[in-house]
Amino acid sequence: MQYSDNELISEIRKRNRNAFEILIRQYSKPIYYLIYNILNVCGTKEDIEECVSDIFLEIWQKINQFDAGRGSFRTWILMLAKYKALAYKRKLSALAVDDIEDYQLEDSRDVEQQVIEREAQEKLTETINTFNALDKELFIRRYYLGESIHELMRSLGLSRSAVDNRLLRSRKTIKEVLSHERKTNKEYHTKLGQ
Amino acid sequence: MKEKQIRNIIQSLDSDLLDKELDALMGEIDVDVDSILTKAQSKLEQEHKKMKKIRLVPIVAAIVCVMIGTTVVYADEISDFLKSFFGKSTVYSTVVDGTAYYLETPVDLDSGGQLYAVMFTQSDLELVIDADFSDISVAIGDGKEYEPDGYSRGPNGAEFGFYGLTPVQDIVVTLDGKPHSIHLTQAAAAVDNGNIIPAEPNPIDWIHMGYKRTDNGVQIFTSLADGDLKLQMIGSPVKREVKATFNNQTNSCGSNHSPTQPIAGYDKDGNVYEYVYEENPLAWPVTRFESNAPAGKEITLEIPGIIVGYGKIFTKFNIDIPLVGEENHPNKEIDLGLQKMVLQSIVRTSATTAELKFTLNTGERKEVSINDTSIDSADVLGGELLWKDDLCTMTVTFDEGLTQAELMVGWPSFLVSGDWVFIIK
Repeated sequence: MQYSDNELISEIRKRNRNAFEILIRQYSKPIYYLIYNILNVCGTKEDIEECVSDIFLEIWQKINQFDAGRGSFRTWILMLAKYKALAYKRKLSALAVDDIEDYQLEDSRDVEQQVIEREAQEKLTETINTFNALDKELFIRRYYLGESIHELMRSLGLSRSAVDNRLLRSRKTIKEVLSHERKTNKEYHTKLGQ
Repeated sequence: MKEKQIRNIIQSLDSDLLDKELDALMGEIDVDVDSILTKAQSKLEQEHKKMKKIRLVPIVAAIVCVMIGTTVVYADEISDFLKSFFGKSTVYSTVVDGTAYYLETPVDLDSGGQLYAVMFTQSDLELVIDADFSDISVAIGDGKEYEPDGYSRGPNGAEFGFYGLTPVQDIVVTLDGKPHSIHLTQAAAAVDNGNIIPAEPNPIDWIHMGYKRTDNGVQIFTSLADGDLKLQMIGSPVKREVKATFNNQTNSCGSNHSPTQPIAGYDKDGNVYEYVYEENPLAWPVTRFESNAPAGKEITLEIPGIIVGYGKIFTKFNIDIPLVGEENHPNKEIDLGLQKMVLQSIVRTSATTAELKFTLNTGERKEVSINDTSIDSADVLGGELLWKDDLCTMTVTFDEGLTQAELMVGWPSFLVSGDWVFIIK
């Protein structure tokens, strides 16, 4: 059974435990991958699973704090996940986190919501697929999972400028694709109007 | 194009698109969703139970004293029904044994944030604090400082549990070295003015149930004749299936219980009203239910069952592990107080695994069925248990040379199908 994010939020607010299970089934992979990248140096598979399960409990407990006006449900979940992972990391490594500023997370309340058509989304995904393996991983981890530049540098063994340059190159490509899509759409709608 | 814009666009993509890419990136990383599910559900369950199972002998003795004292005074004047609720107090959304104190309204802390809730009962002191701090201790006037025994995150802030303390009305909560004196309010006795209204007559005479009408629903009161038996949940589970695991290598355990079915009420016109657990409860088991049933109407509320449990070990015994491919039949009866079960068979399924089958509910109480119970063994590496209807299947893993193991059975929980009816006027 698959729920939309809105259905999941609504059912979890009603304390429907079936929705809790569906939430876990739908979101385990992205959360696990994010946590894996943060904890894999200092934690075991068991630690990662404990952390992921704690995150789901936190989502259940804090569901009323989710504000759709501030960003998507997925963004909110990934933000919670990162905070929890950092707490685990502190505990597991018994070291202070290097620089908490590096992990500052942003919601999108001051960013204009950009809803793009399914066709354009598919085009965008195709474009991401044309990136080389390293650029693709960097891009997804940075913009989908919201990992910090510092974390990416550390886990992929890249310099700051290498990470920045690769991300910049990817952003430029995406910008071109989106500009082209918008132009094509505009021409299409103009033709329809004639 | 700025980072924020890109992030916003990527985050707004439909889930299925980038999840495929994520799958490809994850490559060899194995995500055991079932294991995460079991762990998360177990944590959710533990949150709800909040270690209510911990009961100390001196505390139980104190409760008995309270009950005896009160009984002498009122014995001639009140019914057996009301007597069964003496010594109980209502705190937030639950009912507890003995005298209890609580924080009526949140208190602003000098350091910022709030002390959101405090519940000090005979079994534990629980604090809910919505503030940033790194160190907490509590003083209760006995010259000692207590550190928390339990911690979790709740919807209203950080939750801390302190166990084995005697309830007092004034406490000092010290956060990062700064003391805060807190005066608590004594919780109302469940039987404050004799207004618990009994459920309709029911053949189960070892459980008394009643209700009080609240502003937007009802509070259900339960009194169990066996003082060791505790209410765990009001309502019957949606599915008669419980999965549990234990792992002696990681020293972890978990279980996955079904939620309870909604409780329904009916008026004389046949309209149905759902009664749901009070939202954001501060204490468990939740006994307050909210409903949109009209205040002026008589409602027939039906509670098909409740879940109760014991917090103690019932038995320990040794089992022989057969040779690979062989099976033995211990036919060992296990008495769990309210119900019985029988260890029927043990099959060695491989050099390092065996499967045990238990037939459940072999005792005489037809209205009681075993929900689950802890079955553990320090001699094995770990185990999984599936409780379904009248059967429990247990799979254990162990070192190859194991020939005998000691099983420990305890902490059982039971569904009592009493079909209680309440006429709410």
